[in-house]
Amino acid sequence: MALAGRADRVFDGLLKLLPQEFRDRHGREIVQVFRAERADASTSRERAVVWIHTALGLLQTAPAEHLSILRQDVKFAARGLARHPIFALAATATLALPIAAATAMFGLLNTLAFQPLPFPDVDRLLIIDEISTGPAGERRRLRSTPASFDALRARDDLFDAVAAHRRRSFTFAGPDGAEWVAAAMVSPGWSALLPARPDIGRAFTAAEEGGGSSSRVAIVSRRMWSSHVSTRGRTPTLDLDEVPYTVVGVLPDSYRYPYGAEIWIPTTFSAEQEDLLVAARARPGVPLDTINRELDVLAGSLAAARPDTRADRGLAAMSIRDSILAGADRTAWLLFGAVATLLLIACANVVHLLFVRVTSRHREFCIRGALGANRSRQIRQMVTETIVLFAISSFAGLFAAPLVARVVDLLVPHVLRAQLGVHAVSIDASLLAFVALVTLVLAILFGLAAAAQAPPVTVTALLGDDVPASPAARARRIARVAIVSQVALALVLVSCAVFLVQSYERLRTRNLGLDPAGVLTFQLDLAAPAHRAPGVRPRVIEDAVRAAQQVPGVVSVAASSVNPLCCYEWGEYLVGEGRPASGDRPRFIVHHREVTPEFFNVLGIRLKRGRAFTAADAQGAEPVAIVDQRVADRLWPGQDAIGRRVRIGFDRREHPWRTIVGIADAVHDNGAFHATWYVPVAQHPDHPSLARVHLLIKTGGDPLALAADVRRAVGASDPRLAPFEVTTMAALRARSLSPDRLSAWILTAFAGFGLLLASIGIYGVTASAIERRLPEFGVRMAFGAGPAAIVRAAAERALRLSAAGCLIGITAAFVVGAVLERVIFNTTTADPGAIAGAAAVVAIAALGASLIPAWRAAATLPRVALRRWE
Amino acid sequence: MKKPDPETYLPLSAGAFDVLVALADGEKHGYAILKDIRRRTDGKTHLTAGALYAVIKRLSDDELVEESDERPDPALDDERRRYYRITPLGRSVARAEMRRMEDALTLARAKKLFPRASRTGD
Repeated sequence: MALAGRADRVFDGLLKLLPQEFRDRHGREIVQVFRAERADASTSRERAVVWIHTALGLLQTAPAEHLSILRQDVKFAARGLARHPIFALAATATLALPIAAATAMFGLLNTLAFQPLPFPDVDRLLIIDEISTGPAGERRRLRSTPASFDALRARDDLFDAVAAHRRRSFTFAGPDGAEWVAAAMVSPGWSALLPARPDIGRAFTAAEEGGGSSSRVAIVSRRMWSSHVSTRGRTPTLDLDEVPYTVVGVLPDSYRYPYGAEIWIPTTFSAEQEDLLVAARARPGVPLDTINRELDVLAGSLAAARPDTRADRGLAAMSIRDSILAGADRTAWLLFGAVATLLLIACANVVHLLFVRVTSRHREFCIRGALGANRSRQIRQMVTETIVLFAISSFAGLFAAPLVARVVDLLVPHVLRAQLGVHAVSIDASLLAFVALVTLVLAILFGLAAAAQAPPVTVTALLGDDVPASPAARARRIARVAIVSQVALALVLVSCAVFLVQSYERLRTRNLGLDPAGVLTFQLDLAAPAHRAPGVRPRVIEDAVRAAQQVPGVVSVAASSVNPLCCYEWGEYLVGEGRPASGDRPRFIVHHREVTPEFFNVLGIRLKRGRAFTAADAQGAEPVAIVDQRVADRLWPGQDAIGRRVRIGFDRREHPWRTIVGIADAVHDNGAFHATWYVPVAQHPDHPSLARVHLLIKTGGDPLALAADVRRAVGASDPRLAPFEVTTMAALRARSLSPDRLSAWILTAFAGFGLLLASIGIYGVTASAIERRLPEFGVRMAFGAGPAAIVRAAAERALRLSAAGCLIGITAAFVVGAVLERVIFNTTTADPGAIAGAAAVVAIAALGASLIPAWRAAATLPRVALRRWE
Repeated sequence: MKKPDPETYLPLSAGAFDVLVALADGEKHGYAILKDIRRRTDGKTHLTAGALYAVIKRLSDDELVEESDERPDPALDDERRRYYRITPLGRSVARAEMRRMEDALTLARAKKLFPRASRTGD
């Protein structure tokens, strides 16, 4: 019997699966039929069969019935929206843009924070850099040396693979002049560590990587394969610097890591070949902290063995992901947070629009109620309507998403885009699933919120012909929460935008120490054997400079081994004559730049004292150098450095002392100021940094307009020269700022839209409250209240609520600012001035949005208002 | 009001057709409809209670059947039961469905998909 009782309870539970409307209409009958069937069954087995049969029937019927109701509701909702196109359009427009932005931002976040990078075992892949510590304790990451690479390779307790890369490039003759191609020299272990699966062929064998193989081999990109590799012979070959290499594999074009390389060549590095990019794969289960502790010990023992060169060198590992993303994922989180806030503000607006519609549809609901529709059926209908509305908006949003995505794509770090073929947004299944899920959850939540505002259904409401005098207390509460939260959210959004704009402005207006205006620049590769012969490079450089100088419109031309706004730096140890060799650090790392005489003039770098280089500073003349103020202060604090002597302090080679002839302003390079010294190209012709030189061309007008002429002239000066990466200094400057500028711009756009939506929301809530109170205002005016009193009465509540929203928003902005300061910026962001400014903007918007409808109310004639009351 | 065209309701689902046929000879309550169908089809068609009322709901929404008064079931006089009857529209729809089936059968016979009419002994 107990069993039968339980079976009945289960049966009652199953009945609840049916839609309530269906249950109300036929539930009792279903139970009757079930009981009758059971009573007719003679054995307990037959009774069990009846139970199972009926229960299964209910399980089949319930979903079908729900679906049928959903179909009806969707049809009804679509008809309702079509009948009120202004409402439908307003709500869709409000939602579509935030949904589009959220979609694109989710795409970006998905790419940067959740998607694995396209390397095998990427979670264990590390980049290991050397750390140079400056006198003020500032740490700078440098690429590694062969000494530390060898030491790291010996640590098979920490790493199961270690490989190094070194930048190279080759120049190919082609029908349109010489072509420059980036390449990477790779150490043994590379094949096991990084590369993508070859499209054709194979990776290097251990013998090839270790130099044990007699033939020279290379792996190339698919583009190189189809354009430069000769397949006529028995084996595909590629001539590099007139030496044939056998091509053993072809990598897909999307893979150009590192350096944008299209050719990979195995090699073993000699002790002089610094500037190595070292990648390692941690052994499973060895955490990064442990590795970094061990690297500290390792760096200590390397320094003990070579105190002259390694005293200030540490070693540090970071995940390859952090190394490549360089904080871009944190920016993505910030912008995603902003877009989520925007979406919430938009939803609050839509709730209000729905609320107005609910109030205006009260009569319809009462009629439907009188005809038997119960409250839950009405809630269901409203939620369905909201879902339909959100679905239409998402659909519209999905069309706008690719446009937003195109902008957002620029926030993907250059290495990811250019070397690993990763882009921010592709409309794929996960993205669609995300949009659908967010839309559904928001629609249900806000649909319920809107439905909860519906006034109670009463038959008496049918007797009057207007909306109820005042909505339920619950509805008023929801409207209040909507205003307060919209104002608070908008304030946080505007504050964040101000933080980001301020931070960008600080970067933009920072004094660079050079003037990028009007300067065209490109690089020349001088690594080919023909250029490597002693004394050749200065002559080639001089010819190129002279050829460029001849082009009409060119003001002056310089060449330099390093472009301060681009690419890479070259470091050397420097010692000062007579400086104590026993001092704390007798030698220190400086940026080393080989330049031609016009360098300072072309880039507008001010010489504080002394002179620039001249043509007289040639080979054989007295060796000279120019240092910046930091070098001077470091070596001869408080004294005049002009006339003193410095030289490269690398002990294995004898470098000449150079007399300091000038002191230059500090130049900002790639993110910081560093001590720098300059040497004339002519006096240091065989320095390895001259394997690549930058030409800097000061022009009178638009630099790019002269680009073709200058390239042609330089190409004519030496047919083996292929100018590459042609751009302007101004563009390089903009490129270094572009992620900051873009994120500041995007956030400002979000904040502006959020503010607009919040204002519309406040306006709407105030206007509809005033609409309800018009009769009251009419009476007041009839009894002598002036327009000012009416404006005050009408706007008072919205203003009070906005003030509360501002207070909450200010507090939240401080908290958000403090968090941002820690994770995104290095400078103070939660600046009270910025927050006060943001609060002022939001307060003005709120004031306007509540006063305008209030003024309109005051302008309404008392007679008109009273007539409505009658 | 314009009279609806029975053809627009066709084809009927098997369940709907069975219910209309069950009500053709007089009004019945739900369980009686079930028993009638089961008896007519030798137990081959066995609608569950849920499915039966889903069909009835749809048929009454389409005004093919309607409720008559509630009254006690003579067998269980302590319980009131709701009775259903076929509407004139329901009757014409059922007829139209029969004609449709007959036409299909005629066609099938002409194409020799189905044996010639021969009364099977029942």
